[in-house]
Amino acid sequence: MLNSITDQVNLPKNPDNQWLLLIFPVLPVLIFVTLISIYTPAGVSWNTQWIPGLDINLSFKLDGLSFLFAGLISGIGALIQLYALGYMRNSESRFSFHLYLTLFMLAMLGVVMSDNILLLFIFWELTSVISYLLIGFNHQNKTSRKNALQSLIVNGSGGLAMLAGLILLGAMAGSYELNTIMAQANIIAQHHWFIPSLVLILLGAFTKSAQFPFHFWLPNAMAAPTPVSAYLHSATMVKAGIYLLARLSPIYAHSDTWFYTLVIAGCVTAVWCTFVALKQTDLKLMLAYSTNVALGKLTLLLGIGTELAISAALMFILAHSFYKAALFMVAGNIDKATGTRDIGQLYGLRSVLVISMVAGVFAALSKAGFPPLLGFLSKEYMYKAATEINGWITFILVMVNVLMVALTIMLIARPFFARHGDAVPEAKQVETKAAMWISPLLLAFGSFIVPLIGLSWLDHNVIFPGSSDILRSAAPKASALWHGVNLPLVLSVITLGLGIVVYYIYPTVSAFFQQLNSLVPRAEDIFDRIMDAMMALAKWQTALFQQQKLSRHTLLFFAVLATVLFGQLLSIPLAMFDPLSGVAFYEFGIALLLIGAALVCTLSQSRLLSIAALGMIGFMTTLVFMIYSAPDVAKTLLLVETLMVVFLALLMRHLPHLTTVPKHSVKRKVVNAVIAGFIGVSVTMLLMAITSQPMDSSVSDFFAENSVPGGHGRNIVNVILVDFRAFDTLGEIVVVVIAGIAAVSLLKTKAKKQNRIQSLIFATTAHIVAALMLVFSVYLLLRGHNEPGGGFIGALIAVIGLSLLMFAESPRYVRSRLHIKPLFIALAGVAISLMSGVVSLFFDKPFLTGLWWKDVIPLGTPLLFDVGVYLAVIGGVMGMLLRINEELD
Amino acid sequence: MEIVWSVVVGVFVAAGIYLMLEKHILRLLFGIMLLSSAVNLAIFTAGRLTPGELPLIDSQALLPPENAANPLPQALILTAIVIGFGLLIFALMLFYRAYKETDSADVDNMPDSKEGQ
Repeated sequence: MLNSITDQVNLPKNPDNQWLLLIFPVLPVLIFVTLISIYTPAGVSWNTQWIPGLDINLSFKLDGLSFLFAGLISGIGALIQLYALGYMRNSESRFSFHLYLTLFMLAMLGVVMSDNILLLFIFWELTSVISYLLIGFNHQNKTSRKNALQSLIVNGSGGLAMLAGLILLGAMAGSYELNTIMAQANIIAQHHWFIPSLVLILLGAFTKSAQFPFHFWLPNAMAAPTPVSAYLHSATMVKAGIYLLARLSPIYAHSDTWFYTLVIAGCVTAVWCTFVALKQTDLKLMLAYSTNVALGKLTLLLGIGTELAISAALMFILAHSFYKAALFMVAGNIDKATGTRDIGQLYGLRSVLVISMVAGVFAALSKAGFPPLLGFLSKEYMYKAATEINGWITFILVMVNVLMVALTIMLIARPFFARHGDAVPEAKQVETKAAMWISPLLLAFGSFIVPLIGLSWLDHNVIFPGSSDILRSAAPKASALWHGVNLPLVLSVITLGLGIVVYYIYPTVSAFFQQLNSLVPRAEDIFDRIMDAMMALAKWQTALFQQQKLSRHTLLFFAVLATVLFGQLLSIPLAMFDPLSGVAFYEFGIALLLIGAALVCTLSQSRLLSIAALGMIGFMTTLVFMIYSAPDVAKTLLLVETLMVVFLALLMRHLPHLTTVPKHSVKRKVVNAVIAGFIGVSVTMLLMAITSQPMDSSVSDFFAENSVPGGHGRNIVNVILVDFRAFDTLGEIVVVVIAGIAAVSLLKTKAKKQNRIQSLIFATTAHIVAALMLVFSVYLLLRGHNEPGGGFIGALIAVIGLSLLMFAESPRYVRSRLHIKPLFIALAGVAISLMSGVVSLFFDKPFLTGLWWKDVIPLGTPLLFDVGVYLAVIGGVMGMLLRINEELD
Repeated sequence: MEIVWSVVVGVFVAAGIYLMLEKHILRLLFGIMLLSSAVNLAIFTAGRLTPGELPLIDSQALLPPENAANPLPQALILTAIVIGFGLLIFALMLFYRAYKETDSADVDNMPDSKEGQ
């Protein structure tokens, strides 16, 4: 839907209007500046209530950890928006694209700044949803749609698991506010939900940060336009999981489960994705898998959780965001210029894409860990942290890094420096647009300049406060590029050296991993198989239950009802049933007649006999209400039954005989009868059980006691309708009017037939009787508050009077006599009832409070309300009757 | 005496459901009508039956007579009857239209509309 809205506002391609798009890069710049100006290392927080009942507050906090992420999100966001201005220049829907990117940025900022875990979850889900729109942006392409859906499903299910985990966490701490939860860390550690909540939250973090075995969605998300990949997979979306791990470290990091899960998941992801990365030939896929590797390393570092590891993680987050965003954009430029991203087809671009080459080289040097770039710094710390723990982890890191260095050289050397004889590459000049090269160049230089001049600022504003947010006891030392010759430095040198060696045997290595990979099932295939199985299950159960036969649906429904009732039935003790005493003879008689009529109606093969039986049931039921002191109900029912006979008589002839439709098989009839009989018996027994209990009549007593003092009425039933429960009644007349409108709308022909009963006597008497009935109906309406009567009954009498006229003359005659269309009468009735309720608001009373002016005149708003009911029912029912009579002959 | 009417309600429910499981649309409608009668009677019975004492307050008194009938279920049923009426007419119109469109009164076998909507 968002798509269709934004498609309409997409700007015309007229370049004069394009400056409007500049707000998209300007907004993140403003956010970035604001963040820097309000930030203090001690943290800034802001909160206000949102849904206090659920303990969801709009609380935000900007501390060291949040600041690092928020700065990256807004800063790189601005550069990406700028890049996208160039990259998406010829796209029809570039406005939507920038809008989605902006929304995504805001959602990400929400994730990293929320100080309430449920609020965090809301933003988290928003990032999943918006990333779906971004990844599937080229929605004409089937693969894009499939991959977008895949990432949504993986992230969405992870998000659900995380929600469960967060709720457990909140329940353990007694609050969803992060502050409070952090303060309760000791209590939470002892709680028996500690491990379940940990596992569930890890599921959320791992799916988002594409950890093995959920890693496959990230490379598939490369179906998105390159600016999206550059943004989502460098600084934002995939880092959200890392952020969550870091944020919740103070609560969980002390447990062994946390340590082993993170270390193992991180190592497996890093190693496995390195293998897969090496067999790729598509630039973006190579970058995507190397992002997986980086995320694995970050998870590993957070799992290790020592001071050095945390510092290394923070630095690596920064370094990775810089070089990966730059490399993605360089890859995007190569793609734009040559139309391919296949590394085998690219060569000699250094003469065409000069600036991209410079940016690419610097970013690659940072990625490879070449001193003094940011990547080198983070790698040094990573090795330091690993050597503190054990040799295996160090070995794995070195091996992964060696292969990554080779991959990085490949990424840059092939497209830019490879020779293809003397051939000059066919490439478009894309660097004429400044937007295409400013961003990657700035990021690449950033990787170079930050460690040289900004290290101490970084320490005091990000690394120190960030470390202590993650590790409470942290007291990190100042970062430095040069630590003398020590083991980490040696490892760095070895990494670079071996990396260059591996580069020279790259094809062999690539082929080796290709073979290795083919031996193992791909996670994505398993995912696809699960999805297929779920679809098959859904289809199977749809085919089972949705057979497009109404009677089977109904049967299924009632069978379920019968089963449910069966459980209830067993719990009713038989002793509770009243003996059959004090039942008068005539009561038996009526009951037997009713039962007989119901059976006749069920078994009859004739329409007329069935309707006669139903009429009998209606009038006998009226008698029952009369006997047991319900005069208002009895009158209403009598009138409704009369009207029902009129309607049925009108329509009956237009529907086919009961015998025209084939019957159910005998077997099916037996099943039907058993189910129907079972429910009937259950209802009887339930009703007997209810009536054998003493009754709580407190509500009825309240109405009876307050009817005269509060409602100024002596007919309690009517006072309930127009005063105590007037809101219900208002709803009910609205339903009647809607049913009337709907029923009329089902008749579509405009034919207006003239039906009348040709009888002079009838025509003459009908006028007199109708007039009398109309007068009587007003009388019933007015006396209803104290005696049996009221709006409903009065209206039905009026309708019957008007129907008489309709049969004696014609529908048109009645319409002309009414002057106003029935629909308007009905709406006026509803309006009057509403108004009578609104009046009380002016006297500072709740809606629909009855107001009386007994001292002046014996009138009050309940009477007005009843007049509304009267008009609404006349209008609604009369509208149907007239229309039906016009339709049919 | 509620027991008698409990049995009547049970028979109505059973007959109503049996009719709703049939194939002819009119029988379906009859079933709905029976079921709605049954529900009204059931509410009435559950609120206890009181012969002979109307829930009205004499012009001199402040309270209804000691054994007056329970007014609450009466108020509920009164509106239920009117709404039920609206529903039935709507259902009747719907069935009529369905029959006109498909030329079939068999709920299990209603082909697509003649107009191919």
